[in-house]
Amino acid sequence: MEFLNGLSLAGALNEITAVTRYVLPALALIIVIRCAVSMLSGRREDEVWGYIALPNGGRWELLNWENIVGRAKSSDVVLNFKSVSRTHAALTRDDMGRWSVMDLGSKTGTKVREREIEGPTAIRSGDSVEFGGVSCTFVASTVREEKDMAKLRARPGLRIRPSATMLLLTLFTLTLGVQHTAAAGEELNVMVPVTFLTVTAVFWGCYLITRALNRSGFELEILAFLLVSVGFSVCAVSAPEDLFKELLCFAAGLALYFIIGWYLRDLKRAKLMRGPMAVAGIGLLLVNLLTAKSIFGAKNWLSIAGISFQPSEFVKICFIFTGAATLDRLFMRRNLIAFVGFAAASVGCLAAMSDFGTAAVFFVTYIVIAFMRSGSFATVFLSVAGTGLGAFIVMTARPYVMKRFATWGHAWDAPQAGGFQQTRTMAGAASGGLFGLGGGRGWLHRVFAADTDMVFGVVCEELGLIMGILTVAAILIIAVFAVRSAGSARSSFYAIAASASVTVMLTQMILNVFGSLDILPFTGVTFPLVSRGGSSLMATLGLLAFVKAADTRQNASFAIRSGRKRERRRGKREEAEEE
Amino acid sequence: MKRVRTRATAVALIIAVAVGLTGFYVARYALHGGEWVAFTSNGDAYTAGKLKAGRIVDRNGETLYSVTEGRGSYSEDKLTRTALLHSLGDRAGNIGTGAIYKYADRILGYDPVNGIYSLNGEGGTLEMSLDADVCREAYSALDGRSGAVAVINYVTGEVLCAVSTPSFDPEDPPEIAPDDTSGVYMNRALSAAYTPGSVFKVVTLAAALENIEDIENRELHCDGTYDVGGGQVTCPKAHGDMKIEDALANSCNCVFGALAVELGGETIAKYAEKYGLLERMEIDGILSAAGKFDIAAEGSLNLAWSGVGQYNDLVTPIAMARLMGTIGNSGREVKLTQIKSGPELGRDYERAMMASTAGKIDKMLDYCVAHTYGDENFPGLELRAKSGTAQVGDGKSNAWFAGYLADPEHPYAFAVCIEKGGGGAAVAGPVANRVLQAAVK
Repeated sequence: MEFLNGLSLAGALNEITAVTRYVLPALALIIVIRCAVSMLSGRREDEVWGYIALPNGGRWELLNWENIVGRAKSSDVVLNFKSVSRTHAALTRDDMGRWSVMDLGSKTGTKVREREIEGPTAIRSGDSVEFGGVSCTFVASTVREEKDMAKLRARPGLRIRPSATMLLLTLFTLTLGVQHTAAAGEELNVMVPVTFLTVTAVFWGCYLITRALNRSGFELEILAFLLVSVGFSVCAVSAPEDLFKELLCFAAGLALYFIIGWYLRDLKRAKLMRGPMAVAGIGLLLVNLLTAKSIFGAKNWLSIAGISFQPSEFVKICFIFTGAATLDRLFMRRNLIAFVGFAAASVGCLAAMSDFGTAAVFFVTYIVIAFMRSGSFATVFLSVAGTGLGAFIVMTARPYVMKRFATWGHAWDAPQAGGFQQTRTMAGAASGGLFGLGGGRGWLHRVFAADTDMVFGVVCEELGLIMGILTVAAILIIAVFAVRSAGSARSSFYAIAASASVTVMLTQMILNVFGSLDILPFTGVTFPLVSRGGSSLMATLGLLAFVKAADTRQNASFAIRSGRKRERRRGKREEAEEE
Repeated sequence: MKRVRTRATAVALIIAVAVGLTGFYVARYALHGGEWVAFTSNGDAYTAGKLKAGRIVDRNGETLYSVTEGRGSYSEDKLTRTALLHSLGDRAGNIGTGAIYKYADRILGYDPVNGIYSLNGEGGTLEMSLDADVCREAYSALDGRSGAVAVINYVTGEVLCAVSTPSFDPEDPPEIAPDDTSGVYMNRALSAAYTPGSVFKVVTLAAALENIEDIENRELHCDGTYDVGGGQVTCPKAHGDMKIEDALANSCNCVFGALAVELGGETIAKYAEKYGLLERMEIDGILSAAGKFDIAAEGSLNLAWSGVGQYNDLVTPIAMARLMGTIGNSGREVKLTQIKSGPELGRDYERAMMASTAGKIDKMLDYCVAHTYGDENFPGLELRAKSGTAQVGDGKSNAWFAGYLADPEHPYAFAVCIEKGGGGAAVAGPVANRVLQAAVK
């Protein structure tokens, strides 16, 4: 009799998977589409923050908080006079609505109220400004104009309600939990269902915090949470005993996310962090290089009081802080050279640790930052050429790196040697088909490093190719969103930081997924938010804060001040002036 | 800011790379997913190298092999197990061309949409094109002699039978010494290339029909010997004056030797190549052995012998069966498969032979059966066939019998080869009859 019960129970559990294996990708698809539409639709109207009246009666509208005045066509305010330098001066606004002008080393100088300026000089609406002898008048938008503008600004959450998407995400995560619980049967670790319930509660906690802050943009978080859920699904099957630790790291990562996001609200404050962050980054890497023990080939682990972590993950955040710059600093060569030095040191340390995957991630990010700062293909080309030479020297010095490249593209010729992990990733991924074998029902997780370096295989095997592609899509959507946001960011600091952050995630994702599938060399980096590993999870959540800080949609991001109090104060001031 | 905004699109480049690579992977998955799943280290599909689930049935649904709870078992009938051993493969994996190994993805029930998921983990069902009845009959008819029987459907390309002997019962495998030379693990129908002897005359005939003007009306003559290149080609007796169809029916070595010398080695080699006798044929990823035709010197004795299927000529039974099918199918060569195809599948034809040539050879092979082998020996069969008695040294001969049924209901082509069996028609002919009778039943 008991036997019969067991049989029907097993049958029922099988049927749960038979149905839910279609439900999960469908839910994930709807969630991803809802987020994508909400994040990427809606026009980004040009916003007018003031204008420059020219001597000939024309006017240039100031469409950003940071504007370059110069003769070059790529300037924000183009003054086509011979006496004006190509990149002449910067006009910047802060979040208090205060404007200042700064000469960027022009030959003919800049005057405010007919006095030659040195360093940043405050200007007020109606002031006369002279660029290389060309006399203009500066006019700032009034508070009322800005308020009208805010009304037109894209507002997330009206058409596609984040609360509904959250419900879908909840269903998704709980269904995963049910699948894993059913699959584990009598060997169930009680942490498995507990984890999926806890994670769901944490998701809602974050959502409520955002609502409490009167912010309605939550798509970025939902996409991240979707990836985190999939990550917990992998951890639940590969290392259920580590679930508690992973949960703690998730909580810590969210704390980091909110702290960095809050910190980035104030640009002045954020800029102050650049120096200390550079020192901290190099310091972390050096400590790591000198003391770390080598685990699994790469010397990138640090163990403090029994907790192992990968410092290089956190250096990514330092790297972004150091690499981002406001527009007025962007055109000073000295600053760029300092950053190049910092980047070279970071990549060098990582290479010395034999962590070539992470070194590659830093290098690609460096190229993006260098290009965004300098706009010069020559800089980029020289960097690539220099690194290519360096890489060649490293490869001849370290034969095992060479071996890895030799296996690349030929994994099936050596399935028990150099292609061991790649062939198993492909086999497992193919077993799952489009819909997967069901959470907890795969085998690939038993292969060494399956839940980190080969995680795409585990996801495809258990949850299917559709889910695998959706995890890739989630990262891509975040990246497209960051690029779009960069265009209307309040400062180039935010634009560069957001672009660099998504570059880190993109590069990691590409190397992880396509390395494990033998389409790129297998380097062993993590898939952001999906691969198991506390350091990586925390650092990636930290990186997301930079994307959040570039989201200028109205009342969207907690990392951007709503500015209402300040507006009120400014409004009163302007009214008093009018009287 | 304008500059920074423009430059941010650098990230779009990386996004584009990711999209491109994803597309590339999806295409690779669609093309190779089945091969990846069948990888013996795939723990979803195998336990310690053994398939986890699935079933193999013949074209009539008879279970040939099934895996339950991770253990594979063959048919309950010993004859079936032994006859189909080489088609299915043994447990130890010594017969690598076996279906258990070569069609693992289908046995597991793999498809690109569902992967290898099945509700209760029972795997899939591989429906093979093989007909177990025909295979059993072939094994019985070979009666302990070494050799092979290949039967195909020349319209659909399905392989009905590829029986090889010696064989053994896979449920009770004998001790086989590592230095064993009997080739018991080899599927001779696919992997053994034999001296073809007179069945090869069909190739020389086709070359002559297309290259020698008015060959059909030429008066031919045989004295029992043909002197060439300082040596002699011989026939068992002097055939006298005759036309080409009689030369084929009499299997006259002198006439075909002389035709070979007239055509030249390169021409015959070209035809052997064109008719697929020399290539390693691919059947659903399984490769057959290659055939062989060495081009002998102009006017040499070797050239004459090579035209009658001796000298260094080698042909596999499966390739010979396919060539016979090509003649029966008016010159259209079909791509072979061991998987049962629906009525709408198959039909992957290549024009290997001119239709007019195929028509002429068809008539001559019909005449050959009536005149030489006797229709009464093949009751009820629209048989076209050619025998071969291929001398392989020390006075022994391989007995060949190859042909096809000119019967739209039963478009089967076949080749029987019995190693050192003796006279082709006398020894291999009756085996062919038994197998064909089973096939048309």
